[in-house]
Amino acid sequence: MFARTTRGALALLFLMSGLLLGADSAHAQAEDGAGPGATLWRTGDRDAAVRAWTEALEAAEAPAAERARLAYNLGVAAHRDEDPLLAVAWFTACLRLDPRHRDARANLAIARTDAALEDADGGGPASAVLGWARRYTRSEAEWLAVLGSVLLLAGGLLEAFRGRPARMALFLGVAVQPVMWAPLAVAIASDVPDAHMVVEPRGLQVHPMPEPGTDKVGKLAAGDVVEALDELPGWRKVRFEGEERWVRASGLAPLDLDPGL
Amino acid sequence: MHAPIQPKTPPLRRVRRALMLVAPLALVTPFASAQRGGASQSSVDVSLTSGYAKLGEEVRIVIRATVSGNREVGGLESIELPEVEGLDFGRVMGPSTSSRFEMDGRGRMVGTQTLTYAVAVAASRVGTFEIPRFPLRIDGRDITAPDAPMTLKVLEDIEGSRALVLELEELPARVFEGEPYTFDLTIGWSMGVRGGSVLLQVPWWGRQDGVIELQPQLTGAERGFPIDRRGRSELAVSDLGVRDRDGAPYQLYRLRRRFVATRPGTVSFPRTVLEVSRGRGRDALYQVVPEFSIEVVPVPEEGRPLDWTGAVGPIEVSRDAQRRDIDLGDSLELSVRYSGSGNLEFFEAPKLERVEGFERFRVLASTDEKTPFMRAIEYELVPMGPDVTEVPPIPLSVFDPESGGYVTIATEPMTIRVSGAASDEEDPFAGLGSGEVPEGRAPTLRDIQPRPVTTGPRSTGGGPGAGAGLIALLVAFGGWVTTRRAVRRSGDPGGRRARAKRGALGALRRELRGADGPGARALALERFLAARTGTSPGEWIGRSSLVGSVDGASAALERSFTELRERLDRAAYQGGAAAPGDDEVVALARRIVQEVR
Repeated sequence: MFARTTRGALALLFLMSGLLLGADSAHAQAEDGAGPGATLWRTGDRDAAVRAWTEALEAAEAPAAERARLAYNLGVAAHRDEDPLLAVAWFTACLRLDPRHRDARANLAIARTDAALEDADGGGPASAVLGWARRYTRSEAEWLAVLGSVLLLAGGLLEAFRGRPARMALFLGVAVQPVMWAPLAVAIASDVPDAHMVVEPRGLQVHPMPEPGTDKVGKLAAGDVVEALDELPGWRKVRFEGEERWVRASGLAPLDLDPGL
Repeated sequence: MHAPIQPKTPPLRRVRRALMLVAPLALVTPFASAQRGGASQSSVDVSLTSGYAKLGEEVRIVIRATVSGNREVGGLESIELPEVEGLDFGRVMGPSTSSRFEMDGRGRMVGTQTLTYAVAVAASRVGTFEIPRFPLRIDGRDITAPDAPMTLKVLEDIEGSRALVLELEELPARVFEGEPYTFDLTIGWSMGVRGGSVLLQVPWWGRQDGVIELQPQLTGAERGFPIDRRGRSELAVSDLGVRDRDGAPYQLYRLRRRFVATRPGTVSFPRTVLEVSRGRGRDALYQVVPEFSIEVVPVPEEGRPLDWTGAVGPIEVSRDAQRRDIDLGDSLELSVRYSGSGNLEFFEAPKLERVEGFERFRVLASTDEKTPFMRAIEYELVPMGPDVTEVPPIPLSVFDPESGGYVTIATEPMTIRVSGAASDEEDPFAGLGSGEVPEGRAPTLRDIQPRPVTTGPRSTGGGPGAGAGLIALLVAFGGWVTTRRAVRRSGDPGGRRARAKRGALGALRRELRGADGPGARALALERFLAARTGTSPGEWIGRSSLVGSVDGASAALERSFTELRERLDRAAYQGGAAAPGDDEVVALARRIVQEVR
């Protein structure tokens, strides 16, 4: 009886640790069977490679992890093309699709440094916590929250049926809640619908109307993430300081590559 | 007693009433018999609506199939219209159906059904045309009709040519692919023409393959000119007002459109006709522009510059900027405008990143506004240093149809002044745009991931939603509180007695493992029973019945307990008897736990 309980507890512990540590996604590096974009990249035709990856990204009915990989490759291409800001946008988009993409996380740090962008989370212990919480997709975060509630229920039932000796189970059930809910809380707090990033190094002038001659009412800094609301040829409507404003569309890059999710 | 006197019906009136009753039968009966047994007769008649027509006037070939008798007439299944130089035949229209009934010589009702088809005939010139007999299959029969060739004499509408105006500006016989051409038609009529309606027949409009109509430059003062007889389609024409022509006033309109042929070949323009009807009793007036065509030839490959992106025709370019004196880091809004009669909408805007001289500029954005009359491109440029003093020329390769060769047009260079930064720290481009990635940075960037994309569903399913997590949390809390309250009603599950009761079986097993005889087993059993029932172990010494302390025990359990207890006592106190083993004691204890809660 005891052995069975121990085995069950160990299995649960293993499952929990797998979930909470957020195993990095595995990415095979074999060149055999390289995609057409990669082949073009290797032969030095980088423009063609970027076109191939862009078309694949627009057309592919592929799982999120595959689309993330295409965004990652485009980020590498943008960085090699001396556009670290655009690379930051691509790597960020990649991580939104596959938050545990190890290479994208590493390259994002490099690209942010090259683009002279500050640490998005401000550094320090809080940054580490936020970094951990961001290793989950929104759906995974929601499932973790549900699992946390189930653990709380289990601890509560144990305490209800066993009384004082089982209070530790209830305490653990309560204590684990912040951990289980943190990814969802961070996901909700940082959720920007139809997010776009400013990829123009000089920033973007903000106009009240989509006309070049109109007064500028503000400026978006490079790396800023804004919510896109509408689009006109050459212009994009964004939410700026709570108001609907217009900026040049060419200075923005989309971060949400899978709005259907 | 006399019955009341009824007026007598006169004999003549009675006969009339009888006839009225019988008459419908007399009408129906012969018809029915004709339908049942009468033989059918059929005929096909092919003729022109008129042997004479004005140029522009529509004449029709009418095909009429008639059947009288007891069957329905069959439709037109095929027709092979002849080719007549100068005549165009339209599509077959119809059929229209008509039926009539009449009495034959024997007073029987006979039905006649007629199907009528029509084919429009349009003459492109004045002259006499002979339309030969042609084969057709109608009413299930193959025939050649009419009996003799038909003759159509087309005359010039003298009055129409005098009273109406339909003048087309000369169009080129040959254009290059992508070269716009203008269709400029003046329409009008003498103020002396009274009443009726007007119609412009342009059967080719919108039906020329590979031809794109450029968006017309309308002022809003145009009026709609009907181009079909039902008045469903109109073209916007400019009202030129009343103007004097040869000493007489004419109401004039202008139809001006630009077209671009997008592929080589021939663009045909069948005849265009202006028709003015003058009301009942008077012939309509016609004026015609004869059919013509334009040959579209491809743009030559020879001498084509690599940067040519499709610009054809006379194109002029100008440039302007609102500000030419800017601070370093500010943007310059450069406006480039293309005008002329070339295909302004059909070439790519120059990409400044690829234009020589723009290496010292950062192109932030560009907008591109296209109309058939003006192409306006706005570039937002940022000079990258105070040493930039000029916006270089922006070239565009254009194919010139007049010379048949390619030319390059370019904006004039524009002098600018960029106020410099005081130090490198203020220089917004310090470290940017140098094209260098810092040393040691590039090697650390991880490489691309070359695997081919694996296709599959875009999503493997989303999460349960944040609301589901919250609901689960509330359910967990509520479940805990409710269960706890329910359990506490029967005592504290954490109290000594409750814990002893839950652990009684385990304690029994442990004690039996250390028991060295029947007496020790009996003692362990007594402690077990005491823990389960909340009594003291002393109460169970020597008891061989559960009754009184354990409620709900079955008779079988009671018997088993009594038997086990007696065997234990005998073995313990009398010796020699076979004592029950540990397993038997545990088995009985388990039954007690299961049966008695």
